[in-house]
Amino acid sequence: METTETQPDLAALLVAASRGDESAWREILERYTRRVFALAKSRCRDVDVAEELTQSVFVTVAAKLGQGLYTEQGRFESWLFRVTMNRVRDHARRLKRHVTTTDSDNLIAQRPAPAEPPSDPDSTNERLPALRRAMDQLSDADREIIELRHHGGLSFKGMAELLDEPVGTLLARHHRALKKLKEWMEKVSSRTTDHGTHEVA
Amino acid sequence: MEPAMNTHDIDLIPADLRDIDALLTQAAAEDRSAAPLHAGLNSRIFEATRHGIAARLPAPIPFDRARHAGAVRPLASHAPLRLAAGLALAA
Repeated sequence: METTETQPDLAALLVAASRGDESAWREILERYTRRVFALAKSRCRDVDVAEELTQSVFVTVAAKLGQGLYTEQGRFESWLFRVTMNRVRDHARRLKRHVTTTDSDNLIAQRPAPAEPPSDPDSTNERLPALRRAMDQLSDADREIIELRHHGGLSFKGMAELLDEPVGTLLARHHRALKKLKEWMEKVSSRTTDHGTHEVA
Repeated sequence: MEPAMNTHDIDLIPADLRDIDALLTQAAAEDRSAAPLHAGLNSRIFEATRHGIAARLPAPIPFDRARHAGAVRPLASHAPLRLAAGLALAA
């Protein structure tokens, strides 16, 4: 249940970075950039937007550290991913506002192209796109748990700190989400086998 | 290389759900590996933020405000320029 934060040197890195040590800051970026990026990309499905959000997150972190305003001692990961989730939500809200004012032609243009039917629905390569589609079926709350664990790499303890909920509640929600994904994947797989297509009504 | 991120909690996952859990881990690894494709993401973020660390500047103006302030360049590859501009505006 240990988080990366309990590694002995993260606290030292944070102190050093907050004193202006650039090599410490670089090390922090090395550790967390890809995790923040992966979480943003999973939510946004757009590498350019994910990159912008990632940079935006680290500008905030740098500013807090640089000004000595980082006050989440011992909870860096949960704070970092809270900032990330807030940026992702802000982006989603902006996108929603934009889409509601976009004409129907643009909406059609923005619609993702239908995926090619899988050649072998049981192979890992074919299951990953199906899994991503299945994740779209989850509620935001369920999807958030999945993404914080897998993309953000947070432990359940870290998630409990971030979301201010008991570990047991998060475990139950996570298991429920996994179950839904599994059922959806099995449904897709059986329909593919029966009809030679992955379409699900 | 990025370690498997969630192995420490694997014992908390019911046995019948571990296959889908593993598939999710794989999807996440795929997303993480997309970061280096955006060449030098770490370096660009470092360059855009190092002054915030070293110079103890005031907090940068929010990204959207930087955009409205005209500090925006149209391509994502210029994102560090926007951020640097945001820091400079805030200083």
